[in-house]
Amino acid sequence: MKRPSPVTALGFGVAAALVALRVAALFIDVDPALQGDEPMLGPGPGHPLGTDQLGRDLLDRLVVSVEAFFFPGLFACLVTVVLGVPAGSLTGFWPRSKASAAARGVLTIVGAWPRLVLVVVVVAIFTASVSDPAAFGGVRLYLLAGVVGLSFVPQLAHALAEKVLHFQREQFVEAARAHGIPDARILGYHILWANCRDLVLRQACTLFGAFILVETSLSYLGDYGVPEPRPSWGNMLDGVKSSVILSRRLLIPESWAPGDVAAAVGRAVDEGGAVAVAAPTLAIAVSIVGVLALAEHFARKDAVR
Amino acid sequence: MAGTAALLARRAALLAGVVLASSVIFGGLLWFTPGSADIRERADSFGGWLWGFWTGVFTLELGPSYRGHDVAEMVLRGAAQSLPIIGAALVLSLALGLLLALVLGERTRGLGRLARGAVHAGSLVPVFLLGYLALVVFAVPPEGPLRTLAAICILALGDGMLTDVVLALDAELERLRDRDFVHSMHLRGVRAWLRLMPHIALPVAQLAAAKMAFLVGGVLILEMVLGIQGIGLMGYNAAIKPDFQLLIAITVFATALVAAAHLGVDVLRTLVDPRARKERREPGRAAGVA
Repeated sequence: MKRPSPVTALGFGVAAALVALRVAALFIDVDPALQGDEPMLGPGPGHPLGTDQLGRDLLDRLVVSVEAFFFPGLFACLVTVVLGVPAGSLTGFWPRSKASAAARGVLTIVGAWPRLVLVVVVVAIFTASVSDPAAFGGVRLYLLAGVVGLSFVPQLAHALAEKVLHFQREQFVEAARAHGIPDARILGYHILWANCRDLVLRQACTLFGAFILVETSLSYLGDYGVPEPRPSWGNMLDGVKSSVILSRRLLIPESWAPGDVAAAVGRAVDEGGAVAVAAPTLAIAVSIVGVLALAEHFARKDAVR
Repeated sequence: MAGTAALLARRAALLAGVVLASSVIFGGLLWFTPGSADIRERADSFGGWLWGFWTGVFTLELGPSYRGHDVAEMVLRGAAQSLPIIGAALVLSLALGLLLALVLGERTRGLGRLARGAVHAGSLVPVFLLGYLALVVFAVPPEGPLRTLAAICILALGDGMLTDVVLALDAELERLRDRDFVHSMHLRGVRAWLRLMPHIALPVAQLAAAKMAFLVGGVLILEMVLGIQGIGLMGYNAAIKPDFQLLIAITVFATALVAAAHLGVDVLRTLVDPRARKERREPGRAAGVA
């Protein structure tokens, strides 16, 4: 059996870890608003990663944070695929039709909108439309996901249209036509399913990574993402801003002797809340790199076709 | 020549249509939002407001914002802060991307592979996280040229910007390296990379235009984190207040910026590449703001 490449291993490893974390989050039954009496505790027996600025268990919050982007991210992928695949197929398979020209026009308009500007405008409209925006936090997250998904539609549709147009001129399509196979089956099975599914999966993975990025960014900024006390890797980082400065000061060793460096790291972890800063930072970075590694895996499979 | 001018005029009209359609869609959404009192007070109907808005765009009189400041002046002031950062980040990213693609392009093993992995992993970190680290770990001051420099570097690197640029230029260079004239130069011992530059100019310009929307989005987050008073921060604050007249002005400005970048590339492409002039005869090519 062929050994998987490091990119493939990283991609599938991170994807499996995210699924496992989402399942684990189902079994964590802690009130996110409940505060502990030992803030910024270092890692120890009761709290494997320590506590945050309000004394809440860091590991619990880190795991539960996956809820903030997991299903909304998948919803964003669904929006992109449901709108992007028909649009790409139409513009690629029937390029001269009026419907195709109309679809290209719409894709051109949507493609010109900067993604985050679009997100901010739509969420602003939503916030202004409801009397208590905080009560609709979950709906807002799915709205955000829908908008991010919509912003990816032109990217998927253009890539797919190029590929469909290319395959339409191949001999196997001409042969299928000669055998009387209907266009819908040629397009749906012989072109999209057999030859374009890796492209769609690649775009979906890229979008999922982009959604993690948008969600954590907006949660960090505080107004449009996941509101406290619900955890998100973004708002966890925002909460421990002051600890970073303390950790930085404690991390400076008295000398560069290995013992002093180790002591400085120990101090930063135990007293400076270094883990509270490093854990969400690493979680965000590793998740995005992993999901995009998965996208790269599908890109390589797609290139072979 | 007349054909080329007509083609470009058609393209410019298409992009102007995109900006106009965007203003109709966003303006309509904002107009019919229940909390849109500040723009409803400006006209009796949506059509009247839209007409007034576009007249104001051309005369630079968009009226006061919700807080009483002049909207056109605010957008221009914000653009003066944001556009140099976006432009410099774009140039830095393309220059670094080209350098890395040239240096690492043929080194796919050992140290080259390691360096490539490090560049990609570093570049995939979100802009807000890099801004956060710049502020609290590297103690970038809250104002001054060092903050602007940090913003340029972060925008050029973060959110996968550099990765995208390196991958796109890598693919372009790989395609060029397979061409006969490059093989022939190698055989004659001529340094090929200098001769490749004219061939890569157009793909670089296309990449720059494609990345404009991405950078405009990135600058929104970065200005919030670093506290730069550009269009990103203004747009975000306008959305929170909510100040819809300012928000729609910034949205239309951002869309026009992206459309202008694409038009610039179209002009360059039509002038440089004769194939582009025949493109309109090719069916099925997606008209391309992407």
